[in-house]
Amino acid sequence: MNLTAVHQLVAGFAAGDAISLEAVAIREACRALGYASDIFAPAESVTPDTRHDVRPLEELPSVATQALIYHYSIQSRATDVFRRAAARKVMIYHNITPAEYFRGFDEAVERQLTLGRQELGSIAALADAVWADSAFNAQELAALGVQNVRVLPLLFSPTMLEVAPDSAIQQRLATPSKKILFVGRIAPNKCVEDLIEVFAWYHRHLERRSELLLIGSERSCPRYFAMLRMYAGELDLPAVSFVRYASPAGLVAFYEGADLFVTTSRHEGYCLPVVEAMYKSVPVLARNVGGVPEAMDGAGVMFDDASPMELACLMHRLITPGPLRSTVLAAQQARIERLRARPVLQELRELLAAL
Amino acid sequence: MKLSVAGQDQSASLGNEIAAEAARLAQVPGGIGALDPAHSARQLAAATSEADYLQHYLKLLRMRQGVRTSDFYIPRRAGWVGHFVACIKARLWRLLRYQHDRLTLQQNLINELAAHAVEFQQEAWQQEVADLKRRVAALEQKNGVGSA
Repeated sequence: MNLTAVHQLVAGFAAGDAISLEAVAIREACRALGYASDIFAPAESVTPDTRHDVRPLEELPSVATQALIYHYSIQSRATDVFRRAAARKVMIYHNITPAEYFRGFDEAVERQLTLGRQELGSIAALADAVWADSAFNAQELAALGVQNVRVLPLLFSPTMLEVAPDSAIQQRLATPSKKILFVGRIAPNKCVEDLIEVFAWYHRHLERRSELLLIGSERSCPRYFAMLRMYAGELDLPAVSFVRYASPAGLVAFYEGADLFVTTSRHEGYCLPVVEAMYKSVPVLARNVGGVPEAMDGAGVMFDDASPMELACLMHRLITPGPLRSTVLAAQQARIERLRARPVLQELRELLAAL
Repeated sequence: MKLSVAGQDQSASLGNEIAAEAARLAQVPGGIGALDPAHSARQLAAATSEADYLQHYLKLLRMRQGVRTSDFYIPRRAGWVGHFVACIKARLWRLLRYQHDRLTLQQNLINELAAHAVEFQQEAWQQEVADLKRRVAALEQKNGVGSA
């Protein structure tokens, strides 16, 4: 099929969100390949600061489209538009967080995730091609009986991380204390409470001059956020900072000021922030779960079955200059070099040619 | 613990060293000062619904309404200047104890009254919802709708 326009559908769009970043990277790649390309999303799920980047869902039917790529991760009204579209259809599966994580925290999201998983098979059947952003996600689809799933590893575009760092945040971070960083949605599957507990051991017994910086919006799951605030309070940890929002320049400042990036998430389809941290030469410590090994790709440090005390000791070793830290940083640098050498345009051209 | 460093399994080497260090750490008196699990915020993760969460949250909120006035660790910079400044801060904290306690008493009173207000409001809503449900059910029964 001779393609001239390849558009994309997303359930929501926000600055720094992994799926939104990938949609932008694909749009830029498509445009570089000579296709007309835009991103469409339900207006109510687009954050105000990114409206210039996205077109309203309602405009899609009036636009000439030969191929439509749907980034699927949750049930939304974009699904109906995808069903009705008269174009070659591609579903990219970004994983659906198990709904149980949201039980008690957010019943609406719990329902959306349940529906999302129920509809997954039928949407995949509707698509002319199914791509997954990690082999882990491809295996989930294969388990549902979906055949010929192609893996297109999550695209990483460093553009957002190449802006000048926010000087006010740089100044705020210019203290001798050790800074442990987490970036991501503050959602129950991320198990940020585990990280707070680990940090409590580290801060109390291994390095008093330390702080934990949690970068992520409270809007993802306000009840979970409230639980974390309460937990940090009961452990009497003023050194835990909840940074609800960071602009791209702010995010760069946090990455550049961090001594270690840690995630104790128990469910990840891929985990883009670990790649971002590697790009900014911050050692990464992550739980070996879901798509994380693919994001790490033989770099960083991964753990399983570790107690909070063990993780605190491991954090201490990774933060302290020495052979462990050097080995990890060297492996991460090599990982980033491999990413830079990735022939993204060629991968995308081949996938689109197969439609 | 299972440990992989830069793609290499180091569970047996580094993993065991870390486990030994962690075992020593676990012996430190006081640990991290965690609360009894039944009183910890982490219990909220076991809520079965938003209503269950709210009920538990309010209970935990009541337990935490008091401002802590116990002594605490004062961060200090390295060297004698850091030590000197930390000593001054500790002395100031003791000197101002009387004033702190008075302010704390007032703040605790406000916190307690605010927590009560939230609870009263919630009870009022629950009663209102129950009353509305009863009236809707009665209307549906009268019109022969719903219960079929």
